Amino acid sequence: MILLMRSLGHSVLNFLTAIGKIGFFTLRAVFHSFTPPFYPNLILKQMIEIGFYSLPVVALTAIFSGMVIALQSSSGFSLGGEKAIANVVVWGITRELGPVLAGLMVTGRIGASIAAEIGTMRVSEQIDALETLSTNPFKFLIGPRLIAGVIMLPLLVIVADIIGIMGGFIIATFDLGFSPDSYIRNTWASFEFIGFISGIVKAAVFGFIIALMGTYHGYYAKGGSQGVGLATTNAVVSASILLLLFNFILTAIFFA
Amino acid sequence: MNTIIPESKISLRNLNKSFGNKIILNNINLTIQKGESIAIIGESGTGKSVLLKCIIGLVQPDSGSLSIDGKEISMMTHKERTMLNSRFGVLFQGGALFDSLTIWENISFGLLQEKKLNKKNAKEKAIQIMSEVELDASVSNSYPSELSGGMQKRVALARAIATEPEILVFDEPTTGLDPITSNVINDLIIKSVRVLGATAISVSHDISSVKKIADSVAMLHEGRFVWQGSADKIEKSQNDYVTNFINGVSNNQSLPSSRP
Repeated sequence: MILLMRSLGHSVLNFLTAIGKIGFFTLRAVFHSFTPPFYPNLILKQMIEIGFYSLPVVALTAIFSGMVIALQSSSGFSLGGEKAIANVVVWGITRELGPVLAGLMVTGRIGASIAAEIGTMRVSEQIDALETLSTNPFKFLIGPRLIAGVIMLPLLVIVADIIGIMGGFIIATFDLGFSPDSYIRNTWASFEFIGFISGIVKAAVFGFIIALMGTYHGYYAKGGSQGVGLATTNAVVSASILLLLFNFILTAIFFA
Repeated sequence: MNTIIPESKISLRNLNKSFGNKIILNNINLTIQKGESIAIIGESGTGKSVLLKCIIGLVQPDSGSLSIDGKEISMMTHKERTMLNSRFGVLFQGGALFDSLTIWENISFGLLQEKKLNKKNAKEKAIQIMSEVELDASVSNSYPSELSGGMQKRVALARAIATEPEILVFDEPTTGLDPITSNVINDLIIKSVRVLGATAISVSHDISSVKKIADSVAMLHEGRFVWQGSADKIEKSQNDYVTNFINGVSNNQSLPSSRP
């Protein structure tokens, strides 16, 4: 019994320590993102890495999701389907699937690579070298990734929204035989500003979470290649879970 | 230990550091004179790297005093500490070159960060330093992964001396190199220290390298110094730890700590 209590207490303490460590890391990271010196070249490089190179995966995910929603809802709404399908596609994509799927894809692509890159820099003493060369790793490595994540994820989600809705349009017109112009009219009628904005806000938060978890786990990587592997796994898992948790919280704030 | 205080460059007094329950540095005392080249030797895991990291400010000691030029480090502001960093040049064990940057960008990194030079002059300066460490200018646009281990060490040395630091720190400079390359690196280290008139601290377990590059030697064992003396006396030392270390004999637990 005492053993059980002890191990329980131990894990609670570990959990609280981790929360504190992440909290402190977050404050430092945000503080250094907003104080000079800034590295515009590095921010731009990360924006291209996170935003531009993620376009193909995000676009593919979005188009198939849009198509699936249209197919699934067509079997659900047998009467007056045309309007309902356009509505479900627009709402589903802009509110949920656009940001969440783009976020999860970018977590796999970018969260992992950030953790691996910074983790390798940590275990090969490159981060120590930065400090001895009068460079703050929070400004040089972490800040640019956070800024790029917060800026680029919303842009990716706008692209995902457009392509996802287009996926629905393709199924509705080619497969279900709806007339293109009335489908587009219904799509416009279903579009609601708050749903779109909630998706963009979610995307910015997700971008922050992905970059934060990648940099955090990379920064505290230990040991050799195994440590980097562990950091990468932890970055992806923790970012995915946090992303879904914050998706729920933000949905509750916007719509409940 | 009878040193004249004003001349000492780096002074450690009763320095302690532990990680969890494990004591790494146990009441360390060490004085390094200006212009001196000291080597810290000892088995792996005796705290040499932690001691180096305390001196260059990457690890905070738990207690004790660490002063540079008579200024206590723990009393410094963050800004003073950052300023102090630029007076150090560090050659890391694995080189720690930035693999996303080219060779010349690596070498001039410190210069560009401190905004001492613009980009064009920085490249010229980098190429000039490359010739000092006998590197061909043709590799200036290569990336570190394209160079051999020995060349990477030269680049790392070039980066360490680029800002003309007052204190040079070498963490196992010849580990993993063949004897010929080791000798070249040793010679380059001696040359750089002399040219800059710098104070040098090396950590090594390569005795031939130590004898070459250092004036004095301090041996660390289980977190404390067990022997200190000049480098040319190391082989005549009667200290069991030192003789065992030189001969590659493991120290068993009951060994007495004799001092010369």
